[in-house]
Amino acid sequence: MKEIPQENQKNDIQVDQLSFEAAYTQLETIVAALETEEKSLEDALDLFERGQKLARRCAEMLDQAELRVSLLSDSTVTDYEQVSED
Amino acid sequence: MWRNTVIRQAFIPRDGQAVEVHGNLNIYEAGGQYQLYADLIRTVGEGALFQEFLRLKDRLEAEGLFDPERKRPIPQWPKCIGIITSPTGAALRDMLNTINRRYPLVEVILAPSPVQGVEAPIQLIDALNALNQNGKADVILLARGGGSIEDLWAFNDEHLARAIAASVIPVICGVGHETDFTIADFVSDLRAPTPTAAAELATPNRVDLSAAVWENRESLGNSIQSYLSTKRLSLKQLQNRISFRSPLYQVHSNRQRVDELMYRANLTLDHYLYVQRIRMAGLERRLSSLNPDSILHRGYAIVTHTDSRIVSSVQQVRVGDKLGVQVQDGQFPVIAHSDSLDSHEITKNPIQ
Repeated sequence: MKEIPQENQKNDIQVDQLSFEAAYTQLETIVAALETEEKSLEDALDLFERGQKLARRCAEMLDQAELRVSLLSDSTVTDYEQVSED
Repeated sequence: MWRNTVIRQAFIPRDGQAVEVHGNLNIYEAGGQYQLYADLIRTVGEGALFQEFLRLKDRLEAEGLFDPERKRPIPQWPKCIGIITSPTGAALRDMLNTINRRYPLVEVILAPSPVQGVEAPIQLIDALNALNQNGKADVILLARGGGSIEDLWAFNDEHLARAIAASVIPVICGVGHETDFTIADFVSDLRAPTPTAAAELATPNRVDLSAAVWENRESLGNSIQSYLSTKRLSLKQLQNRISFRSPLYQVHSNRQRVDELMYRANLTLDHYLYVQRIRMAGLERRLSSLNPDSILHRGYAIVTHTDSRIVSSVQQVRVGDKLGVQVQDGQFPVIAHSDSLDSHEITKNPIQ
């Protein structure tokens, strides 16, 4: 019981570092866990909180992402001029 | 060529153009001339290229390069997309716009290459190899906008086909328009009708993802709500069960019994008092009827000596005795006369 909050705290720091795919997959796993598994109140609230953070992270990434384009030539990657939306 | 055949032709030759014609040769008897009754006409070279295309396609197909089981899965959510196309073409702009609109989370690595001309196949292969060496891309878009069959010819190159087959990173091919098919289309892992379509096939749609994230967020909220209300309910049930067993419940229930007993005691007491009050009232009435005063009201009088002894017999009275006569509203003195002293019996008082 004691390890779980600590582990979650460790994961909390990571939420901001997660890729969209990882964050979204975790979010789905958490929703499924909350819907199907019997949890202690503490665990359920921890999962809920983490799920919210993940959902926020996913939404932010979708809303704020800017396409990065780089140029590969002669095995070196350099920045490429940013495209403008038509 | 007959008029009704002409209108079916996609290509109408102009003067000076070299063409290939399909039809049957016949003699026009009236003029004694050979005539070619054409039913198909196309520019020179198209046929040769097409035959070459078919031969290569058959050969590569026989080798198994187009086998469905060779096709690698396209990642659902790529982190990095490699693009091989002309840096100046409209295809690049279309693809970047599409990716930016649908899934701006990815990084795009552009490996520029000419997409037509003699050098194009080699450069396309170099770009493909460079992206594979770089290794960052999860999927490669090999694309070019629409053009004539000669324009697209670089994508029918055998070496390019083999390079696509050898690519570690899955390749989506989007060359030309809907109707254009190249060897690269067959050998790539996924064929897209246009460059824009290739970009769409490589990316999930941000709108769908937002909806999915939102849905998950909702489910999350609903789950925790239903979880909490379930817990609240079972807590309530436990509270109910424990309160029956609680000493306080015993106290309450004892207090209730005490209250009830008190109530019943009160009732009993009240009733007792009521009955006693009624009896008292009866006694009072009887007592008051025994009060000598009430006899006086009926006209009797009490005769007393001066020392308050009541005179109840003539024997008690001597002539000249001063007596007091008490009537209902007071008393007055009298003196006993000899003449009137008599010893006949006085009617007995009916009251005891």
